Amino acid sequence: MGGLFSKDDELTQEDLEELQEMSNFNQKQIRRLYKRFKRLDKDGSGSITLDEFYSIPELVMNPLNIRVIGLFDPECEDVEKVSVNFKQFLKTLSVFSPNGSKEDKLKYAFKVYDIAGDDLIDEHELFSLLKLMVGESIKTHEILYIVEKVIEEVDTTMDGCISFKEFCNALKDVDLEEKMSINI
Amino acid sequence: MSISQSDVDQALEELSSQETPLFSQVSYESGDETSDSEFIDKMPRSKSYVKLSQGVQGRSIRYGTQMGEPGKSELTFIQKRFERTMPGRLLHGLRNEDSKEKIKGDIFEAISFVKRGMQKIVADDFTAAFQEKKPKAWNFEWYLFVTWVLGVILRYAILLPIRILIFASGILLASLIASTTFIFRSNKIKAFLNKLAFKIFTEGCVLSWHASVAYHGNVPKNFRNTVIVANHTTMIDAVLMMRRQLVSIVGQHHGGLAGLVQDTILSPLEPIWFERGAQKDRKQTVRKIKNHLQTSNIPILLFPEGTCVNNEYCVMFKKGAFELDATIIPVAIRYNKIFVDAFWNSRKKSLPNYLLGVMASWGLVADIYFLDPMTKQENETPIQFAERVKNVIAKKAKLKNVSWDGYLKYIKLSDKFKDGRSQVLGAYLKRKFQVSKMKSNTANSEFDENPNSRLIKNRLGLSITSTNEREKKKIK
Repeated sequence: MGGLFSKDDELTQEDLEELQEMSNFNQKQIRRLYKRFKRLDKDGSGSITLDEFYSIPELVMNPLNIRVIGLFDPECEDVEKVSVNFKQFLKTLSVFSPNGSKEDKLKYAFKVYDIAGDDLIDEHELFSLLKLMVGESIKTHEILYIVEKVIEEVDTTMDGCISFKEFCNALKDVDLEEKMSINI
Repeated sequence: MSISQSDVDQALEELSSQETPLFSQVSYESGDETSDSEFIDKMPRSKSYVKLSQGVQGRSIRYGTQMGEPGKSELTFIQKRFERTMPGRLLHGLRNEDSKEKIKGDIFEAISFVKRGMQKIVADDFTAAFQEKKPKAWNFEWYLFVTWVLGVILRYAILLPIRILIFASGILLASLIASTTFIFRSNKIKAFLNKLAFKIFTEGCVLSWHASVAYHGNVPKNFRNTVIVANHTTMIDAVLMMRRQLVSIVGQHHGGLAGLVQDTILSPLEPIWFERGAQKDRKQTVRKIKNHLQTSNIPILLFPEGTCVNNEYCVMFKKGAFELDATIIPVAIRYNKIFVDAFWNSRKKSLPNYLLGVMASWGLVADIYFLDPMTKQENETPIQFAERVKNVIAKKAKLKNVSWDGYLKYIKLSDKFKDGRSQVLGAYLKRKFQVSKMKSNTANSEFDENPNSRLIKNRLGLSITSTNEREKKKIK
């Protein structure tokens, strides 16, 4: 597997098969996504950086663009240094494919809120996310109020945080398949 | 609590209309002292538009390389201009695109934003507009493959050399004739020779590209105070136009041989050239354009998109051409991509490479539609007028109409411009949680004590908040 995405510009049949196994895509889709990946990776470094993501104007305008990009590389400590290779690219998008499992979709939805990655959504993360979403249109103390209310509603164990279970429970009436699936 | 779609529309409407005051700040008043940053938007675009100082890679301009792309100093002006006028136009574009998606006043709306973000990472309109359309592979059977190979041999070994010859001799002959004008004193003879050279030049070009162009529509006889406006795909657009109708192109004046060509061969067009770098010259150029419109019978040709687009999309029309108080004749140019993809991706291919590519294909097939003249209505702003003309052209040329500004190819959109939906969502959440009745006293200073807060800050990119600052950091 060495040199998989480093020197060769094209994906070999071997690569394709391996990628097919680890994702929900067929070979045609993988090839298409690879083309897209190469296009976004302007300097050909083999990975997409934050700046390269920001060359998509519609993504720049998305208030949660930081979290979207963060989903590709969850281990990354500092989003400024994010660097997404094709495997991570494919893996994350695979969750959003219509064939993605509900479990995976729930996990990733949870990841969006769980910024620190400690498997708990606390009020700080919820506050930050909400602030990103609404921008300047709601004052800080109002957001805090909303955060309190949401945690009250969702946090059944009363520990001040939302666990994955509580999160899934809150979303049980939501059609997650539709909400977390995109056309590839 | 249910919130209706009409509420969404109303909120977005309010947002868009809030932006309108910005536009009136930058309306063109003739004879006024206009600041440089305002000028950029008023400056009409053309095929060989401005390279004011340095090239995009810092090289100095040479004819034939990277033409039509903005230079560094111009980009600074454009960036400033963006900050002022972008929100309204982008919001307008977004509204059209996504108005079907309802916003629910829900904290889990984050998921919708994420979905939309992912969708844009997979495919977005803006990148698509500057991508060559992928041709369908047809040579997968052995006999088709053989045919294709024969075709390649025919094109590269026979057609290409002949065409290069024609192209080169066309330019050479035209230059020769043009240079003889210096011998004669009579203006009449000069004009005749220049016209002859011009004819030879354009016919040489067209022949070498094997351009088969069908011109449709009515071309008016009188072009006083008329501006022709067209979608832009390649430099060839202008040559194809020139052939049918003398058009005054607006462009940068080069030195050397190219400059000579501009001064002599292209002079029957009554073109308007400007010198790069001279800032005062820009105001003068606009004055020249206005003067030309009043006195000449040759229409001005402008490409309001400001950059080459792939002939599948039509990007934002800059309003400069629509503020001149002239009659606009929309022209739609559509290339038939079966024979060659005429799109000039100037970042991928240099001009000579591109031309060779065109000459090595079977031929250039295009349809040029001259549409009915349009004028700005009383109650219309130039931007609305530009949009109106754009719709007409996009419809005729069967292009997808998008609101993206072509200059986003060079400039990153500052992340100040968030989706207007944020504000709408904010309003909903306030209503849903009845925030007016709130009793919370939580101090947000508590947040800094959270052990995760640094990690959270870093993952949210909160150490540097704007793209501009990020850029500044990089430059240092």
